[in-house]
Amino acid sequence: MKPTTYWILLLLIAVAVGFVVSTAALAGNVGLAIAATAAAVAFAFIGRRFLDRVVEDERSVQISGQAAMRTLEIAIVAGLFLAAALLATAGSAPGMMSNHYSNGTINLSFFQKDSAGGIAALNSHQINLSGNMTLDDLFAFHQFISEAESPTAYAGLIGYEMMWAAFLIVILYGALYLYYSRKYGS
Amino acid sequence: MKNRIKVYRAMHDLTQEALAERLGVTRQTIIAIERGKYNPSLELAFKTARIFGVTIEDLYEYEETKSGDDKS
Repeated sequence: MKPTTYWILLLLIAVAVGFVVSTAALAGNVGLAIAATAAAVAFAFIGRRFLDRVVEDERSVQISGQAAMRTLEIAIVAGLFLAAALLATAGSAPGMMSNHYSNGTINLSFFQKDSAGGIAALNSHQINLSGNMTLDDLFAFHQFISEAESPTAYAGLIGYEMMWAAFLIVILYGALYLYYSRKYGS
Repeated sequence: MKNRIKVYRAMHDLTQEALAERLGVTRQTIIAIERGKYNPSLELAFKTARIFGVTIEDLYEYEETKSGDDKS
């Protein structure tokens, strides 16, 4: 097999595995996603054995090593900056208080912690649950959902996750560095 | 680091592709070595010298750079 054919095969495998994994993820089938990934790795490995020419040597290993190193540095620095920006702009998830009244209405009040640590009241909605809901009640429900799912409430969560991801990558790098350092005798 | 691989390759009537195949590397690596863009490992340098039946010193010439380090 010529190198060009091998690269085309790899591309086709990547497209196929991407399709299967995304479909499996949407269907919640983790087993299928893992099986598809394992099959893709196996196909790529088998294809490599049929190559009639060298596609990887010491120079390409050095190039990919340096490219990986730069990618790692850029990804960690950019990830930490983005995480810091997200954490700085994040608001806490709004809290909610509800009061039921004897006439069948419910009062939903939203409040949120401000940057100074105080509590700011956001909004208050009176919703009629007695059976004859008005347009205002529906609007109040809409407000309830949009405020509860405020993007700023998620920004902090994403920021924390990115920070942890960057931290884990650094840990992984350290572990692999130690492994190769021992392997090559330092 | 300077090298005379191109000269020895011509003397042995070897194409870049043929030399790459005998050394077990890609043609791009031979091109990079000949242009002085990539310094081969000791193993590859020895292999190259052995193919041409010469010593490493005949093939490669070390030039000290100002900073003391070499590009590789």
